[in-house]
Amino acid sequence: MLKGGVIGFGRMGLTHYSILNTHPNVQFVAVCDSSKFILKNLKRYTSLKLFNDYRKMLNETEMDFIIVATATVSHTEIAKAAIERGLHVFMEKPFSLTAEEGKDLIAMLDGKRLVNQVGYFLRFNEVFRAVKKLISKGLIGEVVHYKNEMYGRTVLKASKSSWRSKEKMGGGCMLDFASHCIDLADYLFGTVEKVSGSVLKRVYSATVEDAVYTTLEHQNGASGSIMANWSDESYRRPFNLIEIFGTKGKIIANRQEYRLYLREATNRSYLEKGWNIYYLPELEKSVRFSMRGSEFTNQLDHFIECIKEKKAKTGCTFADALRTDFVIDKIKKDFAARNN
Amino acid sequence: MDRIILGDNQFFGVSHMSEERGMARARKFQDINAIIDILDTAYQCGIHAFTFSTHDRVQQICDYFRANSQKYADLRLYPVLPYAHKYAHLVNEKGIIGAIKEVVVSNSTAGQIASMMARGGTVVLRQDPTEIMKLLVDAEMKMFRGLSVKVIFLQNIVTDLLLGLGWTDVFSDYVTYIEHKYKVRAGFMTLNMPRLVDFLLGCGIKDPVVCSAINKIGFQMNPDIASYEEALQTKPFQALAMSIMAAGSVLPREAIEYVAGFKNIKSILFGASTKAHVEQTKELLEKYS
Repeated sequence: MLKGGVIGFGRMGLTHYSILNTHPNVQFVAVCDSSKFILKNLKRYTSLKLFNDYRKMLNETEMDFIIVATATVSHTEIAKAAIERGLHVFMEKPFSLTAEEGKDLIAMLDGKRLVNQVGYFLRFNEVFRAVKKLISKGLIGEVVHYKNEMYGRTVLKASKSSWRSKEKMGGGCMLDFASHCIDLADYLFGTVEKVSGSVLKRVYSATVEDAVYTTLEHQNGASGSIMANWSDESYRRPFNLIEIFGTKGKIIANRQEYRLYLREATNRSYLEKGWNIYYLPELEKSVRFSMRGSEFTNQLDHFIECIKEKKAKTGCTFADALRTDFVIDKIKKDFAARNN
Repeated sequence: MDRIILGDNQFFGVSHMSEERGMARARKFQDINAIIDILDTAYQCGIHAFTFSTHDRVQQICDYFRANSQKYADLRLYPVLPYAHKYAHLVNEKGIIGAIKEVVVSNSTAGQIASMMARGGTVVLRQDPTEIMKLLVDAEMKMFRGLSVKVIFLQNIVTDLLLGLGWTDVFSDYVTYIEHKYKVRAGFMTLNMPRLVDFLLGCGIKDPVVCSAINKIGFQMNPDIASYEEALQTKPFQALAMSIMAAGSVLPREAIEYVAGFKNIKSILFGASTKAHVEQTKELLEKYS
């Protein structure tokens, strides 16, 4: 039985707790949160050890792993303390507030066989997994360019109270939405080398960007346009869309379906020349417990599996996620350079 | 419970198959009269049972039912609470407590707020989850006032979150409140039917009402189709089947024959976005089940 703790019991902390609480090899023993409301109710319904100071929790509790789901600003500080104590860490995305502090953290992992994972769940979505296979098998040839978008209605008016409106806390569309697009690009096309044409826009927020538009160029020659906007009321819920143009065909995909266009027939009988369309019912496998979509369960079960199998290399390591933080830094610099 | 129930996902841009299809439907049903046309068709061909989420626009539909109570004399509603996306947005903006206050207050008249402040003002401050749950249920149920309600369902994100947390008191408090205050059965929607059924039976809830996807390809059936079939064959509960065609992946005849094979599937919930589709599905359901 693996003993776990959650630090930060907001919407994501609660979700992760609920999913792993049903895992046959996991037992949660402690939760840390700053909200009295949360702690009071956890006390009422559970026998967890409860803390409002994560250092105290780490010092006083025997655990194998922790889940960090606090505001981004405290991610690296908490992860460092956990790594010092030899704990495996699952961290909510994005990884760190700045790439520099993330780099220090990764240096700490050196030589330690600790499982580390960041919650970029799109890597665990069945459609995007299938898309990665199609690309790596060369079905659409060399990737020339892609369009990689994320839209939603997270911020529809200026808010002063939410941490999402505070840049220093990790607010803004860049860390919340664009980070998913950048990570997906890294997952599908490899390391980003160059960033250009970046535009950060405010729509309703007074202090942070509500939209991010930029161009990425990858080491392998592929390039892509990122468009992320969290102030678009027309979307019922956050929506990811990617359209990939290659020399032999193209792919259009979102979390629920993909469409593959092939210029030529292949030796695979199930793929036709022209359009091939696959929907989630054909791609998705059942999971042992589902909440908010199977990708959330897949990523956490993978984390637990890696701990059990003593495999430090997860499907989305700190090092993988740090590459996204570097790209984010580059986008900010690119935008600032043209505005100064 | 009714054998055939018309669902409302199609009216509000939800499609399990494709976001684009969902959007096209949202556009089609922007005009409330387009929704009413489908409801009228369903009612006239003998479907008198409807599920409704507590989407803002359902208020208008309920107003229509109330204004046409003669025409809808035999109507039976199966509300699904809460409309989760509404809360997700509010929680992003105002935090958990702020969101609760907003929902409770915005659904009430000035007089109701005054009486609620007397009762609930302190409750929100005391932060007792059972009391907050009661206030939220009442706020959400307000739009259905004066209409005939058969079962009040808890929406799957909330059910499955609570199931994962494993807090038995919350489930029993919810069931007790719904059955005492509204005199109807409390139902649960879920993506994890076998686990939920065991859990509810373990909470001492007799013959629980559970709605989940049930289809022959196992779509949205966790952990697997075999556990669903076993639960359906061996557990004492009332099942409502939805997504029987797995978002179009199973042919109607096969889909219906599959669910008709399980005796404790009491109801079949389906979605349709054209009049012809409502009539065809109704006909097929009667022919093969």
